[in-house]
Amino acid sequence: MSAAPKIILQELLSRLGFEATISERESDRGTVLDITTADSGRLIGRGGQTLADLQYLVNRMSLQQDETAPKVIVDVGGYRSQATDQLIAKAKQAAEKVRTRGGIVEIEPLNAYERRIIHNALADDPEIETHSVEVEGTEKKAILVRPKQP
Amino acid sequence: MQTFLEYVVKGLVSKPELVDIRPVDQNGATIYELRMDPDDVGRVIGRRGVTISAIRSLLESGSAKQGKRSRVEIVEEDGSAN
Repeated sequence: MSAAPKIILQELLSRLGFEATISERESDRGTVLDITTADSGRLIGRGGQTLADLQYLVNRMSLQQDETAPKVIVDVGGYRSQATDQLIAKAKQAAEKVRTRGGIVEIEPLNAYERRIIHNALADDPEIETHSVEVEGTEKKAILVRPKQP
Repeated sequence: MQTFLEYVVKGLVSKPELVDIRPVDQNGATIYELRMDPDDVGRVIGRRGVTISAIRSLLESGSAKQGKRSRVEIVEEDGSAN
């Protein structure tokens, strides 16, 4: 049983009782499977958690069938693209604050996917570095944005 | 919801033919008892429980849409559930 991620996603959604259509596109972060459904709120979940769980399972199942399968991004009606833009903006703002005022700016606890967006957004900044720190009582980690140590 | 669980669990394990899912009614909710090869249990639970927690989250979401409550429990060889 080998199936492309899009087919896996389609199967999961229909078995969960969601009527949905999926469009596939390439982005600079990889293949995006964008879901269109009347039940988008339920599928996104609080803070995007249900959507994150769906993406995780699609990738785990795809990897189980083909160890070399590239990861896909699962989105619902562009929710994730929009959330990504907001995270990138937040990263840039934090960097700007560090540059003008000095010191350290802390970004609230985020999941691994969200943290990667922040780290990547500032990876090429010659003056700034980012560092994840554990937060008690959650798997999420906060990010410290600070001047690059010499 | 059973067909969802079958598809996910069989898609995650190395011995899908040994996957057995039984729905049990309990106080209006459906508990899906999940049995599989002992070597596959770790694959379905995942590191720090992340895989089973994703399965539960989607099961809840799909069930809620139908106005139902469902849970999933992995039954291990010695008969204990978690």
